[in-house]
Amino acid sequence: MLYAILCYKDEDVVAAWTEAEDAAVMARLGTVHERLERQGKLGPSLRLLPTTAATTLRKGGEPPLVINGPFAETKEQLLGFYVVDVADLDEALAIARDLAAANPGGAYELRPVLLYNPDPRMPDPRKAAG
Amino acid sequence: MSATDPDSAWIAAALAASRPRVIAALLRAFRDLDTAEEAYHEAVLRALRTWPRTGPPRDAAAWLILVGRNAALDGKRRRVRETPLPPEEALSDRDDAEAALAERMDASAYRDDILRLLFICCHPELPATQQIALALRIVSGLSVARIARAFLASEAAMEQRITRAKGRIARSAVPYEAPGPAERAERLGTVSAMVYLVFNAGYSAGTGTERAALCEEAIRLGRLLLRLFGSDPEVMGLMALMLLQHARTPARFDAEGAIILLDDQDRGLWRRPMIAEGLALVDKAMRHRAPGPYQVQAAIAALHARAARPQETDWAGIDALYATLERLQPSPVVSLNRAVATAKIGGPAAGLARVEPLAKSLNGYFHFHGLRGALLMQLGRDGEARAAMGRAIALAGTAAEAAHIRMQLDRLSRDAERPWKKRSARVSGAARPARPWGEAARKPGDAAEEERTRMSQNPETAPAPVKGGLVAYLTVDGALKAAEFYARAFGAETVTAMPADEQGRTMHVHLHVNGSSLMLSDAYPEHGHPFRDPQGFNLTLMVDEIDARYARAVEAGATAVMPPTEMFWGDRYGQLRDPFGVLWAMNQQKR
Repeated sequence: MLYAILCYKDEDVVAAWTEAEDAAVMARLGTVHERLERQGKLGPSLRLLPTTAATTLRKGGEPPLVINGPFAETKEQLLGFYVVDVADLDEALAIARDLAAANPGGAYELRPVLLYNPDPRMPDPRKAAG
Repeated sequence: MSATDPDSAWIAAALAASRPRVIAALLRAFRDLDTAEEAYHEAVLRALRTWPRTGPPRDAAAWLILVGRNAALDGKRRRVRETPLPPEEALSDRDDAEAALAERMDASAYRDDILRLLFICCHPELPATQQIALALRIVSGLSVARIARAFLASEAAMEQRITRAKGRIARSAVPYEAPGPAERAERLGTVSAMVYLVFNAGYSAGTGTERAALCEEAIRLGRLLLRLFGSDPEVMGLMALMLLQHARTPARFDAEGAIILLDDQDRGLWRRPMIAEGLALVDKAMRHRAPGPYQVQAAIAALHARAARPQETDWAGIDALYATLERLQPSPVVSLNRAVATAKIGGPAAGLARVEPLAKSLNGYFHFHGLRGALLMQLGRDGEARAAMGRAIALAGTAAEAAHIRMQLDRLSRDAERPWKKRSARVSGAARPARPWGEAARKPGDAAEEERTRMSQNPETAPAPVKGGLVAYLTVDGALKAAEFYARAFGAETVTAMPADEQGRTMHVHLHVNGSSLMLSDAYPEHGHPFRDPQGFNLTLMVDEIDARYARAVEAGATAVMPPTEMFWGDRYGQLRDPFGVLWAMNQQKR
C-alpha cells in the first residue's frame, strides 16, 4: 500500500545550514533513497521551497482571497514528502526511522494515500512495456 | 561538536537558527548590547550542556531567551547576594514557564525586536563596512576571525573596529519602544539596504574566498526579514534579487578566476532551486502592484534567469524595466545598464547614444569606459575604442576586470592583422540598417550573429590562446620594439599586437615565448600608467641547450649578467638583461 511520509521541520533550522551541511544531510538521505529505489519502494519525492515563497488561496470568500505565505503558520513546517510503496505501517515506520537517522529533528507524519492521478505528463510504463 | 555529525548537528543548527531572535529579545530586556550578548552566550553554554541529555526543547528560541535572561539576572543578583536559580534541567520542553513565555512572545514582538537589532547595526554614523561587520558579528554570529578574513583585516583590527562601532551605538539613543508603522517601514528600508550591502560585499569577491561566503549570510538575513515581513513586496524583491544573482555563482568565474560575462556563462551550472525560489518571489511581489527598486532589479534578473540561452533574453523587457528603475531610483549607473539593453535591441549606435550623455558623471567609472569602448568597437570606430578601453584598464578595480578588457583589445588587434578596412566596412556598412542588429541577434543557430549579441566582443574573431596559468604583463618603453627583440633573442612569436598610436606606443602585445604567453604594453602616463624601471624580478626561461640559447640572446643584443654556470642546486643557470632593462634568466635542469 502507498504511504506518504510528510516531513515536518523548523525551516529556520534548515535555512541555518551552510551549503556544506545541507549537502551532508542530502548525502546521508541519498543512501536511504538509493536503497528504497533499488527495492522498488520509492515513489515520487519532493522537497518544498521555503514557506516564504508560498502563496495561499483562501476559499470561502468571493472572490477567494490570495494571501502571502503558507496556509498555516506553525512552529514546524511541511518541507517535503515521499510516497513509498510498502506492505504495512511497520515497514513505512522503518523507512521513516532510517530517514530520521539521516536527518534528525522535526517529525515525519505517515499518512496512507490513494493514487488519485499519476503524473499524466509521464509516459505510462505499462504502455511503454506493451 | 561537528556540524555534520547528525547527533550534534541539530543542536548547532537550532542555535544558529534562533540566534537573531534570542539576541533581539535579550537586547530589549537589558537594553545593552554587551549584556545581551553575554546572556546569549551563557544560555548557549547551558544548552550545550543540557540539550544532549534532554533532547531538543519544543521552542529552542524561547528556551534560550528564558535561560539567558535568568542567567543575566542571576549574574546581576549575585553581585548583590548569592541566590542561585533552579537548574535548567528543570526547564523541560513542557515547562510551564517556557510555554507562558512563548505565548507572550507573539510574532509581532519578535518582529520589532529583530528589526531593532538589525536597525541599530545600521547606525548612520557608522561607515558601511562597519555596519556590515557589526551585523555579521551580532546578528549572524560570525566569529571576528572570519569577518576579519572576509575584509582582509587582521583579527585585532577587526575586533577593535567592532568594539568601536558598539561603543558608538551605546552612546547614542537606541529607540526601544515599539515603532509606529511609518517608522517601521523606514527601518525596514534601512535594514534592507544593509543586507544588500552584505550581499554585494560577497558578490564582488572572487569565488572560494572567505568574502564570497557573505552572499550566503546575506541570503540568510534576507530570509529572516522575509519571515518577519512576509507581505512586503520590496523584501520579496530583495530576497529574489539575491537568490537570482547568487544562483549564477558557479558559472561566473573560469578556472583561473577570470570573470565570465552573463552571455558566455554555462547556464547549466546555474543553481535551479535558487532560481525557482527567486522567480516565485518575483511573481508574488508583482501581484502587489507596488513596484520598488529591489523588485525591478529582481525582475531584470528574472528575465535573464528565464532565458535558456542568451539569445532568448527578452532585452525589450529588460530595457523597459531599466526605464522604470531610472524613474524610481535615478542614477547614471542605472542609465548605463539600460544602455546595454538598448544596444541589444537597437544596435550599438542606439546604445552609444545613451552612453555618451553619462560621460560627465561616470568619467571615473571602469564599466562606463568598458561599455563605451565595446560599442565603439562594434561601430568600427577602432581608434576611439582603443582610447576608451585604455581608460577602462587604468580604472579597473581588479586584475580580472583589467584582464577582461585586455582580452577585448587582443581581439581588436588580431582583427587589425586582417585587412583592417574590411571589418569596419562590414560592421558599419549599408547592410546593417536593413537588418537590425537586435532582430538578427534573436535568430538562433547563426553562430556569427550569436557572437554579435555579445556586448563587449568583436564579432568575427576568437581570442588568441593564452598559454600558461600565470602570465607576466610588462610595461616597457617601446613594446613593439621589445616584441621584435624578444623574437630575435628568445624566439618569441607575436600572437597579437595593437597598432601603434601617433607616438609609436601600443596598448597591448601578446607573445608566445618558450610555451608561455607574455604580454607587453607601453607606458601611458596620461591614463595613470607611468613607466617605472623594472626591478625586483626576473623572467626565467626553463630551457634545454642553455648555452646555445644564451649565446643567441647575447648576440641579439642582450647584456650578459651571469653566463651559464653550474649552480649549487645542480642546474645550469645564467642571467642577462635585455635593452629594455628587464632581467631574464635561463635555467637548464639537471638530468
